[in-house]
Amino acid sequence: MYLAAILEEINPWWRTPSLRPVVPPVRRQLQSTVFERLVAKDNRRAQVIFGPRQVGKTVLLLQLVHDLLESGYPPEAVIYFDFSDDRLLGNLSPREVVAARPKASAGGAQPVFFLDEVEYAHSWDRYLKQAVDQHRAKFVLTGSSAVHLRSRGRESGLGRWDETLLEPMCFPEYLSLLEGGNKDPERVFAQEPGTLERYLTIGGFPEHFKTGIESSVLVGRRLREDIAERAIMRDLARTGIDVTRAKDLFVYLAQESGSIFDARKLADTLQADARSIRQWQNHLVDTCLLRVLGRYGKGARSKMGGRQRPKIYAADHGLVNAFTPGPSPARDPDLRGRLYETTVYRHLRTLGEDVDLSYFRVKDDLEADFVVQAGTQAAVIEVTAGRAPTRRKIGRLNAAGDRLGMDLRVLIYGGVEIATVSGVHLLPFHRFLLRPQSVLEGYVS
Amino acid sequence: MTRRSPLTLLEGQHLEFKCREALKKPTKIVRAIVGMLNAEGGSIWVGVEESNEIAVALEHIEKSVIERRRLGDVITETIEPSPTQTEVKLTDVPVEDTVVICIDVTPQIAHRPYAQLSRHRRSFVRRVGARNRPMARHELEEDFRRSGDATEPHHAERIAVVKKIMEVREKRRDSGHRGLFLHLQPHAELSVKIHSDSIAGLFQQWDKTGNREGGFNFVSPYVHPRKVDPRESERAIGAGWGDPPVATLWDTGRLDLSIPLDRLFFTDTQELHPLKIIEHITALFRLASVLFKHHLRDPAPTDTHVFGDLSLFGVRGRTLSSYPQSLEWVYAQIPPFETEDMLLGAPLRFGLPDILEHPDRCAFQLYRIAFHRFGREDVDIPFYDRASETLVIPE
Repeated sequence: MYLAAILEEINPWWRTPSLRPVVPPVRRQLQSTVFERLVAKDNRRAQVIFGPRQVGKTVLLLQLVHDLLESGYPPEAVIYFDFSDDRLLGNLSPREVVAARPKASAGGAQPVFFLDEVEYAHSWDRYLKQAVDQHRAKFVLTGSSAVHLRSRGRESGLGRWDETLLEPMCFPEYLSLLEGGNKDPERVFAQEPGTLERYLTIGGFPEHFKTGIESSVLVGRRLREDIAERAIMRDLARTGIDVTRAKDLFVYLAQESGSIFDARKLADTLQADARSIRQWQNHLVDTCLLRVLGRYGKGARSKMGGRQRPKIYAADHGLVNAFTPGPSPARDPDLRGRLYETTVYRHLRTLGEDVDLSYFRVKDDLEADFVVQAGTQAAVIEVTAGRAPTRRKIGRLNAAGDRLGMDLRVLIYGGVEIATVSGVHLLPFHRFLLRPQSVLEGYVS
Repeated sequence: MTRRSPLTLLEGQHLEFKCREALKKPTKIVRAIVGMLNAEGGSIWVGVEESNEIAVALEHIEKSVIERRRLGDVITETIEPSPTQTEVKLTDVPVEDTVVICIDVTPQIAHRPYAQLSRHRRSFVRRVGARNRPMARHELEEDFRRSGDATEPHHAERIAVVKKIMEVREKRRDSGHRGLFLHLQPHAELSVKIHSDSIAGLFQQWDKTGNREGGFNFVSPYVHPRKVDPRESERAIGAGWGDPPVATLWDTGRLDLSIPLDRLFFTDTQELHPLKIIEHITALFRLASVLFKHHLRDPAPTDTHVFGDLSLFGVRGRTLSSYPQSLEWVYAQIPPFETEDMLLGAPLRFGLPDILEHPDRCAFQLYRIAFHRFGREDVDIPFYDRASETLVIPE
């Protein structure tokens, strides 16, 4: 009975169809994709949205509710539920939520369930498997503990639901947020000074932009609390690993974002067993706080080698800032370099799932930060925070390009001019962030 | 300079005593100053107890430097026209193991009548004997007439430039601009000589003007500032980015800053962000300081004045939020602004040496007025360090 009352309360549009959830006007880039899948008639698969804490999953879910209602979908067929609601007794199953919904007429429309924080639900994966197979309803789920979500869902989810990772905001999303989504991000960038530096300092977690706080110290403290205390110490505790040591590993990897992961070396540094280091690293990657970049290889053997010595990046440059003690990026060139590289990788990931990303390194002397391959297009990319690229940098990028047989060589740098020097395209960092696909075009109009 | 102790002296036409407590409510001190400015001048001692108009005891003023500066701010803000340091000079005076403040008042005939500004009105008072009384209508008329043909140096230029500033303000308002508009105008034309590369440097490199990297200012390394077409704006020599440009400078020493209203809000709200107002205004004063210090063809006369006019257009119904002190911050409740535009009664006047040496202090004097107009108090102004008189924003 109490469950029905909660449902009535948090779905006020059942009783008053004109009511909508109060949501920010700006939509994340991912939102349109999820919405299109949701309303596609021939798509029966559920949508599972996961991502780190504070990344905006609940907001996205409520925006989907809002937009579905706005599209004219019968309000009584739109059901939102939050499994982290403090008033709930014990771990409920989605089955109980579905059963508690009033049996109102929805004009034959298929019910759409928006289930938030589903990692707190009991056996959600088993229920979802059956429900999707029987076409009972449509489902969109979110969860902040990706470890739990993915481990439960990996087997039963195959073919039954799509997993979508919501990452911290990329630069165009941040610019849209600043202007309430009313203007083109490039126009916002051209109109408002200082946006790139603030984005670099604070990171892409939307929660922190709303406060208007300019102190990276305060924002860093909040990020550390959210990440270190909650995402790692609490969420990873369920896995049974030594969370304190795993947290130490995370801090190390965040500070050294973009470095090659070598479990044996790290074992010495952290005084732990190499196998434990690998296990912790896998769990940390599952929390979506770290991202892996494999080494470039053509054959299967090379690809195996790449997996053994991947580069590890913080999922968001804000984490690098938050976990690195010392001066701000404006005054520390090393930190600035790591921020640039981490941010570039974040934006390369927006190019799509069909784009293959890796780094290139041979015999420890020739390397390139990124290799991007999309069908027949390929580019080798180096990143530097310097305002004027050195000849050595350009020469080494050309050498890497020659070795890879790739003609498109792009140096993303801290300067402002677009140019081509010795066959290398110089692409300003801000231009790349505004339009990441430009790395595959070789120039920016 | 050593000063004679005021003890045993009698209050009169040229002398007034105020106890230390008066610093807590400086409007009474300001009234005394205005009274003397509209009369023959004189001295006001703060920190002197009187009995039957005779100075009987000295009251030591703790942190006299800070108190003096605070009082100076109030004087600048609440007296119209804003007096210069020659007109009203504040000094810490050590007397018999104590420190008190002495205010020397020297009126400029051409500036009369001086008014004391409060939130809703202007008061004109004149000192007669040891009292201040409201000025009579004929006295005001006489003073206003006299100010029209005054013989003070640059007087005519000053009157003309204030008129011109008001015209610029009106023009900007009529153009439909909604947002912050700051206009700095020397009382007489200066001759700015600056290479286009140097202009680019000022608009593209934060360290050239001492502004904060990534702060709320006009600097952007990503966009080339544009040269202004003479047909577009006569004698403008450079403009920063944005359309209309955030900052524009002229070869006459004029500088403008123009920030659209929606760029002054907190994200996702319609509330004005205090730091955005403070930092933008300070940035333009810093630019002015650099420009006048390093890029004038000939050094400007030291008695040059620069008028500063600050307007916030289209702010009816807006509130100016206090700056969040933590991430758990919530908006403080203050009533929204009631009129369409926030305008100054008259532009503030700054001495050129002040702009050269203390640009942040000059900016403070302007945005402080905006804060007060929005119902905020001095404690709501973040990051202005009164000791160093600079804006210091922590990383």
